[in-house]
Amino acid sequence: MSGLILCRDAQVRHPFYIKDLGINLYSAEELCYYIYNHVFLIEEPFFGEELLTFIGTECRLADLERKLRQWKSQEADLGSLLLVVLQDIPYYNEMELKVFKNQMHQLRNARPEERVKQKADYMFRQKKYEAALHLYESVLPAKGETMEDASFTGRVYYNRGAAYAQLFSFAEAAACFEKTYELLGEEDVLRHLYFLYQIDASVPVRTDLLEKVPAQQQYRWKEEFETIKKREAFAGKALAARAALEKSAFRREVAVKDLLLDWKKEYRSLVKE
Amino acid sequence: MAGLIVGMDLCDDYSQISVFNGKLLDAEAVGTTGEENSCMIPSVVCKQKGGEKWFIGEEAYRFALQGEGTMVDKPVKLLSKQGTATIEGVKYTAEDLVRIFVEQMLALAKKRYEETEVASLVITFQKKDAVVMDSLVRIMDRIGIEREKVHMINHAEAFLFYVLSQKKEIWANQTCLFDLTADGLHYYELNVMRGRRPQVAEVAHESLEEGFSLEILDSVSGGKLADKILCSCAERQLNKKLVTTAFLTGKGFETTEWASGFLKIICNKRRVFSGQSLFARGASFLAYDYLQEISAYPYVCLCEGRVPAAVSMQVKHEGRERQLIVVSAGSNWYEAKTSVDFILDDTHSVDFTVTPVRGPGQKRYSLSLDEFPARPNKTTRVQVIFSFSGDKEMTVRVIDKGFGDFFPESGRMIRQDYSI
Repeated sequence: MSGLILCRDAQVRHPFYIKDLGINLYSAEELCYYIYNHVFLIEEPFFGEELLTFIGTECRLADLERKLRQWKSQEADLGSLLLVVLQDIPYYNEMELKVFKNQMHQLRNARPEERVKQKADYMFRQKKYEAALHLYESVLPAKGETMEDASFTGRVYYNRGAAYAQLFSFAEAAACFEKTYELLGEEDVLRHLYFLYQIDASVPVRTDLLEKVPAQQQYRWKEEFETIKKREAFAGKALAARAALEKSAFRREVAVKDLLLDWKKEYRSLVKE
Repeated sequence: MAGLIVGMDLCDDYSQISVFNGKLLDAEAVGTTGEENSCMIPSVVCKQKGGEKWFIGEEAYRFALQGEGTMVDKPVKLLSKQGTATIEGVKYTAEDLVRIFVEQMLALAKKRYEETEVASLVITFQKKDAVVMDSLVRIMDRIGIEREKVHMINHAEAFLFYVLSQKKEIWANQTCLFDLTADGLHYYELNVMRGRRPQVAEVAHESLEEGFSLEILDSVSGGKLADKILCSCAERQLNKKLVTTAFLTGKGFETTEWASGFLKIICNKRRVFSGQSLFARGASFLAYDYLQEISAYPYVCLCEGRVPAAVSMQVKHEGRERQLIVVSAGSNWYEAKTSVDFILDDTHSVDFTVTPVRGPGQKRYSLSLDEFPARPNKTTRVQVIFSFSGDKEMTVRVIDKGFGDFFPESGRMIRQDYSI
């Protein structure tokens, strides 16, 4: 049923800080949203004194705080406590809670490395590439270790490659894609390698891999790459750069400087752990 | 109860102040002297020449007459125009002058009751004017009376609360009021409609075209003419109506010797009361009511200055669908500002329903929020503000508040005016 959800009156004076995301929660509804959408990020001890005070005092949900303390004292697991929060704060409906329960069930049954990968994937989506890379690294088999699940490892390498590419570390990205191809044998991975080579010809790409691709397919990729290149020249950062350079002489310098500062800031956030 | 409970009738010709006596549970008029006629205080302020003293009322006239002061009159009109007055080379704003006038009026009550604080103050004037009321709020801030203690109503509302504070037999049928001032002749009619819950108390107000200058009452022939005019008004207004109580107020009815014909008509099978502080008393009754946990007026009060319809919204609260009344019918429009926060759940509009107390059925309105940024479901919090610039002029503002740090607010606001 659609409509308007009446918000609680509570004005939060001291928000609850979520370290993983570097953000603050200001309301009970935001707490629900965080739990529902980031459950794979949540680890013990989530329900510490700080969160319980936030719920009871800041969000003025004293009954819920009392209930959580009671459940905690009875050593209820993290999943049950999260569910109590979502059920007591009327933000998600029955259907949505059912989906959450399924998600929790899957998460409980998932292998630890799968859970870490989910967290890393989330960091990737949040453009926190350095943090994602560390998490991917932690689930890869160490040198000398046997690889139990080639498909899983292949996907991790693929995502690592994508993260490196976002950080302009093309050589590392290429190495990851090569490893992915070895494990998964998917032609699409070679397409990424081909694109990397087109962006930067100095990237050490194994020529034997590209030689496996028929010339006709490579031609299509080239066409696709050129189309993307043309499109990107008139969008996003290129457009902003063009706009800065087209400014009058005395404004140009300031505009370019500001743009570079923005880009630096953005890059720093990408490599922030 | 600590502090004065005050009703103040602020008009351009005469102003009055009334204090609710908690022991007697009645309102008492306060004058500049102990005499009864000193309750009508001329609305003038006068600054002492070469000095810093200010005077109001009769004293102000006296100083001006003796050439010892400079006088300014019609303070409410000056306030509505946001005018100024220059006295001895110093420019005073209307707010400065009204502040002096109001402060001195309150000082009269404080002196008489030996109180220093005001617990509740209701100011009444002929007609609600947003400019005047905004100024009065600022004036009260400067005087040091907290905003929540101050309320403002018009004469129709003051009449309504005055009558409803009397014995029920007074207003069991229709009740009317003739207010004759230098400003004109005003007719008010109160009707309490039974048979529905809550009961509706409605005041109809008419500014009669037959108003005349009070100066004509100074001559016998002028008095006769005035009586004739009033007779015709009374016959027209009271014809075929079950009006069993009538009130007369205003400077024009200070004496009624000139109105023998009018009195004959109006006193026929009716109780008639004549007095000078009706509006100020009505205001002080309401001022007392604001301090009570349960109102003594469980009515939907309809008149000029009151919203004639209820505004409601269908919302989800504690997981259940319910109807939220955002503006109650009969609210004082100046105070009927409501702000509610919602989270949009699979919707791109804010819908509300206006249900008039009388007249045609309810109307549904929908305010589109398509201009707001697209976000995942349930991640847009909006602040919806309902406010009024008149009893039928409603403004709805919807402000995008984002969703915390997940989705920062865009700063966008959608505003729409409605005539309800």
